[in-house]
Amino acid sequence: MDKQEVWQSVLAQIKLLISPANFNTWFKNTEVLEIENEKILLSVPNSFIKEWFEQKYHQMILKVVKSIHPQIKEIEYVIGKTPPSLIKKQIKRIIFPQPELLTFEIDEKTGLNPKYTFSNFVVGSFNELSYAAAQAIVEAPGKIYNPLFIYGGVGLGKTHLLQAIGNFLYKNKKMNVIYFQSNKLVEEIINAIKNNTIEELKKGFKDVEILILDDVQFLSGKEKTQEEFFFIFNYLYEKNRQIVLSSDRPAKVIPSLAERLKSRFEGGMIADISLPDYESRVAILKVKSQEKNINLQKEVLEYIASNIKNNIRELEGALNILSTFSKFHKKEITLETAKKLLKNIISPIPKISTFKKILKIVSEFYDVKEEDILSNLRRKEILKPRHIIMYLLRNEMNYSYPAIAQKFGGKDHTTVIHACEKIKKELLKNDELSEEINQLKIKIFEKEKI
Amino acid sequence: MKIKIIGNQLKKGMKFIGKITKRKSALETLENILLEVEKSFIKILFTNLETGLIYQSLVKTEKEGKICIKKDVFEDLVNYLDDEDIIELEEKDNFLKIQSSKFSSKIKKFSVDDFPVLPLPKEEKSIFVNSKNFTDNLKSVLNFTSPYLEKPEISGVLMKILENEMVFVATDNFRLGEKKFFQKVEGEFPAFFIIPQESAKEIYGIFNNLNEKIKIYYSPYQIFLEKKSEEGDFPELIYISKLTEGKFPEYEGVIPQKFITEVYLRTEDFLKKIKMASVFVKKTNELELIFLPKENKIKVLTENIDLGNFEAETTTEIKGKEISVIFNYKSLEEGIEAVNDTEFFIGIAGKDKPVLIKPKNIEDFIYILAPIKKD
Repeated sequence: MDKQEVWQSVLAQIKLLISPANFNTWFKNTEVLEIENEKILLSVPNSFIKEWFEQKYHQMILKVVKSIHPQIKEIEYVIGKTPPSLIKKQIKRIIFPQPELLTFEIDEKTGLNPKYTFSNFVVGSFNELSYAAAQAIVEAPGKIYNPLFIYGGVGLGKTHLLQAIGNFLYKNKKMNVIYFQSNKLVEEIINAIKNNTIEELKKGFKDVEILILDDVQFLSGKEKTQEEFFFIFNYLYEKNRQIVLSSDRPAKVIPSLAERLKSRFEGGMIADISLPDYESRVAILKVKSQEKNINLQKEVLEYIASNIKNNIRELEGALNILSTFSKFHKKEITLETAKKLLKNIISPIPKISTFKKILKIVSEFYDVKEEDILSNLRRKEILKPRHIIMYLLRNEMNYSYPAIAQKFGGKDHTTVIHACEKIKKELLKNDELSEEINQLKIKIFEKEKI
Repeated sequence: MKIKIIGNQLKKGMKFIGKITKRKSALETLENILLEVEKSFIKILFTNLETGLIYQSLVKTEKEGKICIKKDVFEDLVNYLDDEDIIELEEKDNFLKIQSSKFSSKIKKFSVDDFPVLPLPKEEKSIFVNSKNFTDNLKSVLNFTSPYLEKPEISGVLMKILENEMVFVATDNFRLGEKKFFQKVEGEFPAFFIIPQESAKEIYGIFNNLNEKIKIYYSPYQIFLEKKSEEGDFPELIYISKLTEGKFPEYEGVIPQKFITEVYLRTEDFLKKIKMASVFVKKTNELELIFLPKENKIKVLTENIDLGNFEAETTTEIKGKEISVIFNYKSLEEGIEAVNDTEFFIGIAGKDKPVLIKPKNIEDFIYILAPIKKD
């Protein structure tokens, strides 16, 4: 019998000995913390309950405990976690229909969230280059790699690393750090242009020693912002102030980003963060579960790590689910429970689409007729969508080349190979095309509206 | 049990007891008080299992003993006693008999064994404060706690005990008030703990009417406030409360430091304008302040399509830029009311950023308020 079960059977017996009102008042929110040899450590919600147990119920509890665990000779009561209020009050809601602005996590001055530090950053082969570069920077900011450009997919820890650099320099070296999400910067610049305060905004950067700009891909297409940022960047760069940037892709493939910015972004150190390997994922889960103060069995951690591969944020999401469950039900999570709880995250709704749907969406997108695409016409405006469909079928739907050829009225499969290769090559240099294909993908895999 | 006691002593005790909130509970004995007579003392005890109070007074004891009776009945009756009346309390069969030269009454008694045991201060650390000063300062932030118990750490008042200073802080995430006051502390510091909002209200209710030295004992789980009796060296009053577990947010980072617009205003005059404007607030409680530095004017505006509108101007020197900010009028009003100075400062840190309100002459209070965001 584990300690929970012991206590449950004790409670079951005590319930028969005292009135329901007494039982509910005194025994609610009690639990066994430890059973060691002859002693039980019992957690009670507050000192009123503790006094009562010690002075009134001690003999009764001891007797019942002994009937289950004869070797127990002693019970110690400690004040443990208290629920906010034993008796819930009715509170009128909607007192301040006001957005919550005092979010205490974020430092008003720097924009940094202090929870991101190097000490809770897990290093593995997937991110060691970026980590080493970050370490070099905090050693000698502005001197070695400037700017540092970190890129990698969503939820892999870019923001964590960037903020850790900022927090370290702000706290340990008392440097003037400023952290910006790129879209926030865009917003500020737009506002400044509108209110004619752009010079003041720029002046605000005068004393900045460390500028951290997260998700610079959002600058894409914001020409005026890029222009203003270019000046800020140059100003800081010339004064050897450290600049750290992140993006979800390499600078050279960020569409609609001015060439002069691209070349500046790439002028320092470029480091990538790739997908974490299995061991790193387990290590990350261990660190995060310690932070969240939840104890998970090895099998559960391994199960999560082997099933969630692409995103650290999803790993954390899985832990959150388990932690909420275990706190609520006050029991340990077994592998079975974990599987059940994480079903939705681990096997997400598969990407579903059909040839017909792709054909329809692409032809609508390029404003050509479906039958033209399927015909043998070789006009330029038809060739492009036709090739894109072939490319999508191959890369997104895993169709074989011959199968695709058959869909297009029995063309030769080498024609299909040629088309796919052509798009692939084109994608590397043509940002517009990659943007178009991204939009098409979103449409194609969009859930059917019912 | 059999004693003789003067009317006003009973009245005094029951008045203190009456400040403790009665909570609904299945346990009947929580509606009761316990009268305990030992040597030449009577103790009256009451608790709701989160807070509790013990009142103690000298009596002429004829027979020691304990009795448990319904609090409300006894309280209502005692309320009408004359101060000089000599009251005789006596346990008789199933009743407590109450008798004076003017009346006689019997109150049904309940089992003494069911009455909770109140924890008493043991090894706790302690400090001495003036009850009036302590509670006046507590009141400055009392209204700013979060009413939602899902966030227990901000549903109470943070109390900081520092070397020469005590600080009360409360927030509901929309606004925050911090009140500092000089307090020489003998004992151990720093100490930080969170007093649940209900307890903080009770403490204000009980101790604000007194103006004397009280002793505060504190441990990680509970706080005791003790007032000595004037009749001798024994506590007349011991108030007990549990403390809220959790870590109060690190709020120092949200205090605005630089301002784009700043102004000093006359407290009473400006409060009046806000109160007038509040007649026309919408359900969303929005009140707009427009700062016009060129004209050295502040406009207070409210509008309600169904009722009408209000506009007032204050002429004063404004430093900085022209800006308009929308507030929840209630939060703005409560903050300015807590300022306790003839003039106060408002500093705007920027669009959609929290504003700072503080007294002009004494730097003992700050209030940070998040404006309502408008696109």
